[in-house]
Amino acid sequence: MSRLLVVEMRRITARRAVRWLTLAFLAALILIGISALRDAGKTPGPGDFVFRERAPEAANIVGALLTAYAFLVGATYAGAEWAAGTVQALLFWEPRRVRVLGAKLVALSVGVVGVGVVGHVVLTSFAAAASKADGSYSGIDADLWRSLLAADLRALVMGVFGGALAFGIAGLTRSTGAALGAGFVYFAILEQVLRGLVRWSNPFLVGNAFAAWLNGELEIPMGGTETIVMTRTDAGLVMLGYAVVVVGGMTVLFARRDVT
Amino acid sequence: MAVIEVRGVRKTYRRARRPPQRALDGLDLTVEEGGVFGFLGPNGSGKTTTIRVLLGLVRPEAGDVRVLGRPVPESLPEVIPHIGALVESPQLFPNFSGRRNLRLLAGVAGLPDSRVDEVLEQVGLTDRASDRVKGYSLGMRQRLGIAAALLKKPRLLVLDEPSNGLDPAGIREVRELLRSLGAAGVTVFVSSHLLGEVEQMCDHVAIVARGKLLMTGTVREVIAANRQSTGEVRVVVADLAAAAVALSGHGFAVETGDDHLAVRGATDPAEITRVLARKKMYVSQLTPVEASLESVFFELTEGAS
Repeated sequence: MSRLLVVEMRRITARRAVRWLTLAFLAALILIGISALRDAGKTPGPGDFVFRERAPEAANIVGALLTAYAFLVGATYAGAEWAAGTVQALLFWEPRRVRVLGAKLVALSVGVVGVGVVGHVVLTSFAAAASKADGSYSGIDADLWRSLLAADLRALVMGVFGGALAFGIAGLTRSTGAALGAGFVYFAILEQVLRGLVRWSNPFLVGNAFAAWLNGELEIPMGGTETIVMTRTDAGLVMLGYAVVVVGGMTVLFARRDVT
Repeated sequence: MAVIEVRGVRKTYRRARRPPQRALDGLDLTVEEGGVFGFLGPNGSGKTTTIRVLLGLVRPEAGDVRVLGRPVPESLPEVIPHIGALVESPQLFPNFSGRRNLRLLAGVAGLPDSRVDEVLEQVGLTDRASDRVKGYSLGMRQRLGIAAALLKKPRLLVLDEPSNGLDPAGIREVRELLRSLGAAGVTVFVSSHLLGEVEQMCDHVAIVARGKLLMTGTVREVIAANRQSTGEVRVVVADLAAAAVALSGHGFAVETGDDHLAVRGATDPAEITRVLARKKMYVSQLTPVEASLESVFFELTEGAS
């Protein structure tokens, strides 16, 4: 398994699409950071960029962008394997299909976590620089670092979820385009329609789960004056449920179906 | 020792909104160790499905399959390190170089990079190994696929149409490579449409149609077993018309060509000379027309398909 994992890591990092997407992700964070620095410098008098307050926001921004990045990488990674037929070629070397799939998923997750950590370092560094330039870098204690670390970990978990979901959809459909299309249709159309017209589905919407996961909780209107509160635990269970259904379904199908 | 044993294997593809398609219908096949084994059949006869079953890519609904003495697919993880395979077109990353593609595969088995260079040399791709695969010709991709199959120094090499896309020189090189591997003790199991190639390259053959085995044996055995039905003698005499009348009168089937007669029905060519000599006609050429693998193939498969 370890050799397979090393090969998968080499394979995913060698892909041009993955390299470009990684560059785009980091470039987006750098642009956001530069923008924060410029805004901090424009404020007359003592600045209001308080690191203690803004750093957790930075973690959430990284989480949202990382999830989008991971979705794109997961879709292109699995889709390209099927398009090139290299999954079949790999089975001539490792016929245990679940192991092959596991190695790919672990490689994808490790890659997403690695890129996510870099992203956190980048944006947190910009936040620190902005607060020192024109704001407050005080009140930095162990509690803050602990809460920042927790926020970063939550962002990474969300990124891994996004990657696994896209990997699963692309594996089920054997197509990058289908996975990307499904993601677009879901977030751009389906979720909006469900949010407005099918109220009972709101606690199960991925977008709501993301918001509750990052912010701790989310108040969801259920029609009239009724609202429910989606907690972080609820959000985690919703994400876990989707991941199990999609990745589990893909694994069962891949283990059973003919490779032709 | 049998390297491949297939007994009563059945496989039906079932797809939505399409009628079921039976690819293998009780196929039996035995391939002994060493040499080059040709696996022949018309399109849709079940060749590629058989190869996919051997490699665990497709699950049959009935029958037993053993590869290198072990049941497949259950024991595939134990035997796969000894099997090299190329099924249909090579599956490679088009944006990676040939060398990188092979190194990634070699990494799965923990093979050194030097082995990659060896197989690239073996298939004549060293000079283009650093180029992206998407710039390769069909023949070069095929060579790279063969190189990938050779990486593990396999005991069993399974190749599906390895000559696809190769030019005549490439076909000859592949033939010589496979013969040398077969002579060195590797069992080379190769499916091909190029019957002339198979006849030159293979020690044993099996002919399949509609998912069933029609005939198997050495190339000579297969041809010899069908020679009687093909048995034709080419006769050259001075007066073709008179000779045709004489031979027809003795119950032979005679076709008159431009410069010869094609005579069928003689159990012994001496009967022909005897008949003609009695009429004071003397043969200048008398040649039994040998059946070829191609003629046997068509004779067997036309009836079956």
